[in-house]
Amino acid sequence: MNFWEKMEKIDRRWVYLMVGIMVVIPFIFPANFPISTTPEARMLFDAVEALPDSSVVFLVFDYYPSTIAECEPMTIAALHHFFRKDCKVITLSNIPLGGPSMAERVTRTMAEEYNKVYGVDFVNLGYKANYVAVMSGMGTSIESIFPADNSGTPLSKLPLMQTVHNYDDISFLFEVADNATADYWVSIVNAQYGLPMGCGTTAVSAPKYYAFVSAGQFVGLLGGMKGAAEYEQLIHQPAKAVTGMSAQSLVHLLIIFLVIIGNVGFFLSRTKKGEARV
Amino acid sequence: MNWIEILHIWIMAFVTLALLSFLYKDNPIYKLVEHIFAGLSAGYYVGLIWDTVIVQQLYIPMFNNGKYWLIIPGILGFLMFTRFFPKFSWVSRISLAFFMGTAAGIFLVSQLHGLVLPQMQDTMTPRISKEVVSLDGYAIHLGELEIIDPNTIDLLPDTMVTTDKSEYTVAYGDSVIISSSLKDTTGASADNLVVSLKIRQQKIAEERHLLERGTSETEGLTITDNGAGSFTTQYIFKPDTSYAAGVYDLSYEVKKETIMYPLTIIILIGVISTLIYFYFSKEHTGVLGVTAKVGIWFIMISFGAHFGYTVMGRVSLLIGRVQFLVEDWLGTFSNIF
Repeated sequence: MNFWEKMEKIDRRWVYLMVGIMVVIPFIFPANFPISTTPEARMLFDAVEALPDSSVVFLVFDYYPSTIAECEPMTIAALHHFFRKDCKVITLSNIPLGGPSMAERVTRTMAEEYNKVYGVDFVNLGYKANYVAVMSGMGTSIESIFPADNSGTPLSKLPLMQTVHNYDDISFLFEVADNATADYWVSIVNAQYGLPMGCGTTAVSAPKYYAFVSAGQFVGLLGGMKGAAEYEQLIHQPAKAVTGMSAQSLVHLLIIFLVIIGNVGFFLSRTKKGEARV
Repeated sequence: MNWIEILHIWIMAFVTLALLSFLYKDNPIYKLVEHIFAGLSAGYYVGLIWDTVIVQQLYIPMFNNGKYWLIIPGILGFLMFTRFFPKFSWVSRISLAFFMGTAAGIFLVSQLHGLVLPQMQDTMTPRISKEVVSLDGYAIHLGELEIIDPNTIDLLPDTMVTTDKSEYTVAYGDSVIISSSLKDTTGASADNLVVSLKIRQQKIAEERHLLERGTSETEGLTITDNGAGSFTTQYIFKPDTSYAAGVYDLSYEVKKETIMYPLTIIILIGVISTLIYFYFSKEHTGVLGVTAKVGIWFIMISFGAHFGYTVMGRVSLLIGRVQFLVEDWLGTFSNIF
């Protein structure tokens, strides 16, 4: 059995081990790989930057805990940007498992950093089942859909919600999603109520959503951890996504190497088999 | 860091490592954690729906706020449970019919209006490169336009030049000339410059377009070619009483728009050939066959892009877990040992 034949039959656990090592290395020996900014991330940053100070914005946590690595850096970066501009942030989630509690944890941590007061500067509406009904209903009245916030406090007792009744009172929607809820925010809220929106999404979903940017339905887009890292750089707040991108780059190099090895081996063994038949 | 936080992190680390152990081979610890996850998720979901839907949106509005008509959706929802009893399961069809009717109505409009038509429109229009033209080194100039009630002011300037951020005071009915000088606009001509003018009252988010896509043919807008890449644009704005008195920010943007022919042609070929690949009413031979093969190539390239992004996404999830283990879990060791 020659080298290429051995490689063809290699136990896949060796590949897992190599990937694992490549991911761990940058955390032990930090390396800085350059991260370029895509026009879509820049457009989203510019759109948020152009909002007047103290605007009321929606930040939607439409992701499950399983994609925290990609999505949470986006929400944290967005909150840095919003709170610096003194925007009033209303969070909600259409994800039952973990969405509202992640929104609560992330927003409260960030609010503490910027000395923001709950009910005045930010509100967490929490979760409500049936996102289509939620999105449609908030166009008429947010309070009819969310009579109380995530902690059960009636909206009528929260100062911020005294001035916010429906989408007319919201300036911008920042959707962070790992699923198709972004489609519904576009088709129901953006298209029917004209609320400008930007989106941060997992890498798996990103190729689909570039078409939404091109059509002008999204003002900008963050795709996966790379998108999150771009936004962190744009707001000059490098954090977990920027750190993670070093590991990402190393693993990509490893995968490219393995794909090349695999293909070379495949063609060489096929040529040998052809020669053997002759 | 208190001991509850440490315990929390250790449980998370144990669960993470237990699930990752499946990469080596299936084992009882992996199975245990998998089952705990499934059970916890189901329990959490039931509790959440009970509180946010049944209690908050049915029980409290009905019995505390007197919205007794909510009994109708309540009964429709309750009828869904008849599916568990074969003898009465047909009753659930009433609720299903209602649900399907409303869902079809909502989705038909929203999908068509919000997804299909905008995407089709974007596909049908040529790809245009939009480059913000520099305005003496600035991409976008903001001025401040103060519109004040005519009864309270005598000074009525009639010209404003937005080459710098400045404040100007005007009154209703005045003619305000909003002009700009463009320099070094390589490749620009009076025909491919597009002017956008937006106005927004300070501290009020809603923007109004004075000029959404102003070109050399737009009434009220003049674009003068001064030669050597230099242009002057002028727009006459007459504020009327539909603008409330107050201070306004003016956003002025000039873009050079150029049709990107190669990209437009690639998209055109890609869309047509892919659609033909999915046309099954005629055998894929001859021209139709060749076009369908081109369609397959476009589909494969699209799959490649999706696969690349998927790899990135999955690696990101692993990075997230490793970040947690290295930074958070190993970080607790100094508190314990």
